[in-house]
Amino acid sequence: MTGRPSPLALVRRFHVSPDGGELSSDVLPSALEPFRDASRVSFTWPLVLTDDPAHPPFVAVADALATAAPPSAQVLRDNLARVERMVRAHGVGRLVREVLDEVRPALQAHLGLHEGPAAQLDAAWAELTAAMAGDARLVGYSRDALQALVEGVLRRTHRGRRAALREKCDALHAELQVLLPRTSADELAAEVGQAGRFLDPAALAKIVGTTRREVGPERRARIERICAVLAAPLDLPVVCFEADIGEAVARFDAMSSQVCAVIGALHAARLELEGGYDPARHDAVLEAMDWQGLTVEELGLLPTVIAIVPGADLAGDLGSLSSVLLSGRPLHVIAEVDPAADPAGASGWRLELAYFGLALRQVWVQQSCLSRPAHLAEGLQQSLRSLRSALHVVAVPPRGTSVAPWLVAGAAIEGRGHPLFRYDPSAAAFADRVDFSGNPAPELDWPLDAQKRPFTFAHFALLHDELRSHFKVVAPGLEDEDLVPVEAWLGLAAAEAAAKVPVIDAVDGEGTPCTLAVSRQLGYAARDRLGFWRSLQELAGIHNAWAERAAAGALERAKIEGEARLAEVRQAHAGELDQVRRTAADEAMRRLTDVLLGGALLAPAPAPQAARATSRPPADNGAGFAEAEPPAEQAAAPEPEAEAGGFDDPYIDTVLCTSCNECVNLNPKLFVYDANKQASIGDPDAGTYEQLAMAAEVCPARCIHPGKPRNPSEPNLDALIAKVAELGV
Amino acid sequence: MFGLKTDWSLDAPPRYYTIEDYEGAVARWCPGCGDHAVLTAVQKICRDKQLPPEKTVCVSGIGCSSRFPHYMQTYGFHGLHGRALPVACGVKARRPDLHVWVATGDGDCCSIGAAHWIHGIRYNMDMTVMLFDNNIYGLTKKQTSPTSGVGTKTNTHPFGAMLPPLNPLTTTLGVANVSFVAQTVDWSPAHLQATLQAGFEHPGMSFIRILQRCPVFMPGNFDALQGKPEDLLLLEHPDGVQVPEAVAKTFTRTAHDQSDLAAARAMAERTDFAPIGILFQDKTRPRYDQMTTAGLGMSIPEKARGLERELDRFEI
Repeated sequence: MTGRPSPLALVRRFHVSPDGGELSSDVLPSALEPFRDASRVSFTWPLVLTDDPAHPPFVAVADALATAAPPSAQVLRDNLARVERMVRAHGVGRLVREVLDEVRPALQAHLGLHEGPAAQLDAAWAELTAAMAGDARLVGYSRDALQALVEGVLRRTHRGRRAALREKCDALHAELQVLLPRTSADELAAEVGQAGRFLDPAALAKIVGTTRREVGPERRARIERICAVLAAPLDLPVVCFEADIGEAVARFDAMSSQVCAVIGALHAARLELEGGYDPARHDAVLEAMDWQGLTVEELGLLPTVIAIVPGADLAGDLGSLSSVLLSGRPLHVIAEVDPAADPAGASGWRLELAYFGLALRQVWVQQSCLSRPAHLAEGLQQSLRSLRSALHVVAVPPRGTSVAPWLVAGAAIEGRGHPLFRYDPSAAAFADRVDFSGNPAPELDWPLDAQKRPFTFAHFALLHDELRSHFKVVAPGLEDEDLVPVEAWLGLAAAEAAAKVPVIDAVDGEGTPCTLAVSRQLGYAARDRLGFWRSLQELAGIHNAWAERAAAGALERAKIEGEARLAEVRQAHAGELDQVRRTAADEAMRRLTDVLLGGALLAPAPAPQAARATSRPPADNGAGFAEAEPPAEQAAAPEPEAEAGGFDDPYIDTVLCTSCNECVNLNPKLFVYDANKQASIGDPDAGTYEQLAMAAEVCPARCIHPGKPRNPSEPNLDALIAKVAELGV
Repeated sequence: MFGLKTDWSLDAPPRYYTIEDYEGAVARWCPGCGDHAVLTAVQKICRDKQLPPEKTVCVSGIGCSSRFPHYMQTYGFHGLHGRALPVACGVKARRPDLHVWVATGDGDCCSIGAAHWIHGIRYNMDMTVMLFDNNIYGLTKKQTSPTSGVGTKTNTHPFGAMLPPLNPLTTTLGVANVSFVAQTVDWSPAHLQATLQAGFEHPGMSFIRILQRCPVFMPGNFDALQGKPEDLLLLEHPDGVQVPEAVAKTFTRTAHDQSDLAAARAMAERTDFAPIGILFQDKTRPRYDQMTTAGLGMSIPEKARGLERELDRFEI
């Protein structure tokens, strides 16, 4: 009899050959359920980018708002999450100040505050807006953002270098000018500037012309050529982007020749000033100068040429990539990759470009992610300092996902689909070359979510539309020991794993938990990812087999040595014990003899109990809390506070105010409430000294201090001053 | 995880409240009355906790302090003399979602309302009870209250009160199932607010005695304490009332284990100092409101099914 296959049989069949069944796009890994509605989540993007050196080059919106909001503006600070949400909703690619101008009325309308708090919010908002850089703009998480971020970071790095070069050129240019004879009256007039009004340039020209050193026409022409180069601005971008590595090389060579001309002119100028320029010797050297002849400092003046190329294109032409990176040019190649691409071995195993970069030995390498701009920028700056060719493998926003792209990027890092690491070949020891920072739970195979569930590569794969066919919902209620969580399945031996089906935990669009079976192909991909992750762990010194073996060997040796030492000590101890026993027996016998014969014991008198009792710490009350008696200085009069009478201006100890309304009823301009409904002096000239004295008198908290009269012509001042003095405030 | 900070949520309540949202009628207490400070402290706590006014209820009995609900822009119940706690317990028994503040005076609570006080404490329903203790009946123009000191000259005892005053702290600490007892003073805004907030956050009935000045009928009653803050004994504990160091250093300080009922009773009996802070707290005491509100959210069919299940246990 042939019946319908059991649910378990269906799952097994799917595992071996996925039927391509449709899995709803709202099924997510359980760990991502809280973040399903992206508008309710605060994350790094959009970034606030600025070139203003007084501000960091990029910062998350939340951090920008929190930093710029005045600390005392409670209404604003209480609503920062609401503001962030509104700023995000107002779109990206715009100036922050513009967006804030639009958000303010919307926020006011939403909050519907009373007049006082509304005015306080407006004042705080003005401070918030002013604290943002004028050019600060919001940049959203997209592929275009990569170039903007890189450019912003590198422009700052270059800024100081270019300025220093300009200064150097100008200085040498001025010094060289002295060498050139100024014989014409016009030239001299130009040189002395305003002073020409008080001199006779024609007469001066005759004197100067005769006293300056003679410069031959050939040298003069050379100096003028050098001056022309030094005077011309270095019209080169600090960063330039290319979409092809070959073009990047050509661009670099072209621009480096311009920089070499300037550097050559600087060298020539110095030689001229020292009088050591020898055309026969130096002309050829300076003529042949290229970027390889530059010093480390001079290399820093070269524009940073960056090729941003899809990772797949680079993987298809590794020969060209290798030759460019190994040429020694300080070029940067950014490979844009999608961590979900080709994970399952459908077209062979995935080429790990960054890992390939390690094989090029002299190349600075990092694997980073646009969703972690701080990690990416730090790597960029490190590679820039290294003056080596650099390969940056950067995960960019993926296509084909129904989940927020930054969340998918985060999941790629969590699920070991795109581990972060850097490789700096300049470090002496290999252990120092690999930087593994930024990875979640680097010591574990898989990081754990808030419920301590592992987040695996299979969980990450579920976020991609094209990989959804590798998952199938297990019928609710179906439980079988052959359905194994994927992290456990990966730990099984091959033969055992073949009989089981890996599953992951997920949640559907209604928030109902469900279990998904994973295809065998995706299971193998997860195994491959785990293998790669473990290789990186070893490189970074985590679970390094060599180190662990060495440690085990050292432990074994220490154990053997320890046991030998222990045996030795035990033997010595046994001998000593025997000796003590013999001595003690003799002593006991001697004392017994003394007692029997009526002799005095020689033992020292015990310490008096009373003396011990006084030295004990104070008794506590049985619950571990010793009651502290007030120290003498506290029991005495309190420390004198600052002399209130020393202040001329009236003031209020606002924190002591009990909000009794007495003073504000007396004069609501002189006395005002703050956001906490506690009084302070508003406008000290809005009232009389008499009102201040009256308020101080009626204040139940005694926190109003009238100070000295501000208007000496106020009547009855002597009596008021006497009254205030009597109050002691 | 996923590169998010721990405070990743942008969820915000639909409305935002400032102090003005909790301000009701203009307070008509006498100039210098300590009740103003308590009112402001409660308004600030409501603001800091963003309590929706429509989810907040202030209940009182009769007396000066019992005008409190009029001055709060929330729901309120100005009840009968001594009956603040029964009304508040009634509210909480059926509306566990409401935040309940109780304002009661030393006359209202400790005299005519004493029976309700004792049973209210034992019920331990989740609410904040503020005892405005000025040692006098103020609304009725200076009559001896249960907490008036010996010798206090009043209209009812022109030659001075004759009996020792009742100590609300020791009385409360003697009631079964007491879960939170604290004391504070109206003239220290920071300590007052911190104590009331600790009481508000306590799961159960928090009883807070506030030493409150009445400058009209008891002038100078607390002058000695106000002028000599070192006579106030600040009770310190990691889970206790936390005030800024600048405020704390003006008081005499002592460590106090607020989980120890015997230590709390001994502290309440002290006459050398006036203790301020939490004397006793036990968050695990049973709460009657949890029992009275069980099954409140059940629909009629659910109730019917429950009844049927019960009835099915019997055979005819």
